[in-house]
Amino acid sequence: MESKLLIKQAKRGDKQALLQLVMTHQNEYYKLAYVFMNNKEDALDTMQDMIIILYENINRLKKEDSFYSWSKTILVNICKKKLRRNKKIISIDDVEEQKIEVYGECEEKIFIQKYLSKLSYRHQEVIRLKYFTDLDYESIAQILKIPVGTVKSRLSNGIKNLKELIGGDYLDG
Amino acid sequence: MDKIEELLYEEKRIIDEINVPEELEMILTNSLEKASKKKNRGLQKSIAVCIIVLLFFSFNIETLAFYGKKLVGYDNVMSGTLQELNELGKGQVVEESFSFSDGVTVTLDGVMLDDNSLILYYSIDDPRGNIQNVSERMNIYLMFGKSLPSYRGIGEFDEEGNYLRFVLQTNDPPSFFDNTVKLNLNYNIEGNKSEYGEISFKLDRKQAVGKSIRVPINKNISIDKKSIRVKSLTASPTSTVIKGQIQNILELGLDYIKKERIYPEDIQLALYANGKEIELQGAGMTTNLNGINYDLVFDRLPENTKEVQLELRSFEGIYDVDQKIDLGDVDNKIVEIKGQDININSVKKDGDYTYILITTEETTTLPKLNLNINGENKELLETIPEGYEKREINGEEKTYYSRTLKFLGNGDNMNLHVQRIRYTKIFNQIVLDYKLK
Repeated sequence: MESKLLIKQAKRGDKQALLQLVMTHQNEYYKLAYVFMNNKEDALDTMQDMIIILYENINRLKKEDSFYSWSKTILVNICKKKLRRNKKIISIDDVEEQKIEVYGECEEKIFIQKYLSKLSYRHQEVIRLKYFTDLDYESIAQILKIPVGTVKSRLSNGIKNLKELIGGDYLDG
Repeated sequence: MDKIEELLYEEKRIIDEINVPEELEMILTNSLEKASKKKNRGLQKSIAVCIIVLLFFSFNIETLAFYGKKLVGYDNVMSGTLQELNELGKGQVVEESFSFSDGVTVTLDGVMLDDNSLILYYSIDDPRGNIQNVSERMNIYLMFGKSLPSYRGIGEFDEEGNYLRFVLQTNDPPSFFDNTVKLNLNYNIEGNKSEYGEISFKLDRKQAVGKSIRVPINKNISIDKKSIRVKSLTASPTSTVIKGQIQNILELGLDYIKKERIYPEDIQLALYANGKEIELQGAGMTTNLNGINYDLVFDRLPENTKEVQLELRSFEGIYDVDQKIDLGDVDNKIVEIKGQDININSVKKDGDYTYILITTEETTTLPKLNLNINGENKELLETIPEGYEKREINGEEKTYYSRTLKFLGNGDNMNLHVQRIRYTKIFNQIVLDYKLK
């Protein structure tokens, strides 16, 4: 109830109300940003961008009940945009080289994030949201604006690709 | 639960332990304060919704045709330099389209060619307003004759989702004999059916007016008994390209035999024109029959440039090593590998496992290692991050990273066999000072 009042105030341009809405669920927002960005600085950056977009666009929010899923969709989109922009420069030859590292006995072997980052964005995002946050299928579907069935199928294909990427024992698991 | 899931849940446990930074509220408050200064920002941003950047990597011709016409709609995706050239009406108009059965159309509006690259301006239009989804299912391959050039690019969707404008810049220009440029289109129409299309055009080099400055540099910079070569600088109307080589094929082959290979990861160079730093636009490295080559693309040089300087900032690479660290009586032992300190803090035998706590500089890692227990090699099971610590060494602040390496098994006779090391060497030194005539 309180959040509905805060949303109304935020729609009137009350910055403090908007800040309170976000800070009440700070943990969820921060974790969501963190699972995509993987470091504190970028996670904070995306939250900064998010609050500006929320402030400038909150009047477009028609259903007040959906503030949290709407704002989380915005946060995820900012993360995806930043990740695309930061995409490393890789030549075909370098990809071959990297494969050696992937299958070798790596110190970073267990850094699942390294392998995750090699998957397509579609697969990465569903895996990150399903396994690294406490969101259920329904919430993931709402945030990504895709049907629940698509979430499930991308998840299953993503896990399959991840297994193939890591290889070895993980293929059988 | 299968092994992959175990790994993922393990990662979740790590993420769950992360606390929200205390400064979050202050950072968000500051951002909101700034937001008030741009009241109509939302309206101003009505077109720029999403920008994507693709960077791929891997260049000699003299063309920049005049056509006296500007390309419209690409302002947000053009760099300052390209906008200026577009304002002058430089480039070749193509205006060729291909339409797929669902109405999606790809149009190549125009190109700009100079000594460093070919720049293509194309758009994808979707009358149904679902362009983001369409673009994810569209693969576009550029072809110069029969070769596939590497490129980088930036694109933008409109807010209604009707079109995507893209600027694609190759890392090399087409060779003098490749006058036909093709865009091969592969579109995965909904329902997993693929449709193929093609847009091809002839490059018009006759209207060439582009002028470039080429500076042969050919200077070697020594790094750990090896050398990095800076070969040349080419300043064209659209960009400034620096090319160099890390190893030629002979060196590469010899190192392979001696098991002393370098796997270059990153080279950071800065370019200054009249003392002012020029923006870096892209960089890449390739390993092939010509050895390991790199190239760096900067914005074009200002018109009044009299002097250019090149600064080597850092080089990051993975090196083959073969070093066995005896773990017999270890407590805070420091081992130097390739000039990098590896601090073996402690070795603990616990049940069936051995835990080795190590600390190195943040950028130093050991990408290939195993534990030899009584003559038997054991692979690393997992790396447990232990945290970062800042230390001041000789007035310089450095970040150190500690982690525990976990292996299955233990014994009286153990040594850690390090086979590869990755580190970043900082140079921050001017390697070229060149006066332009």
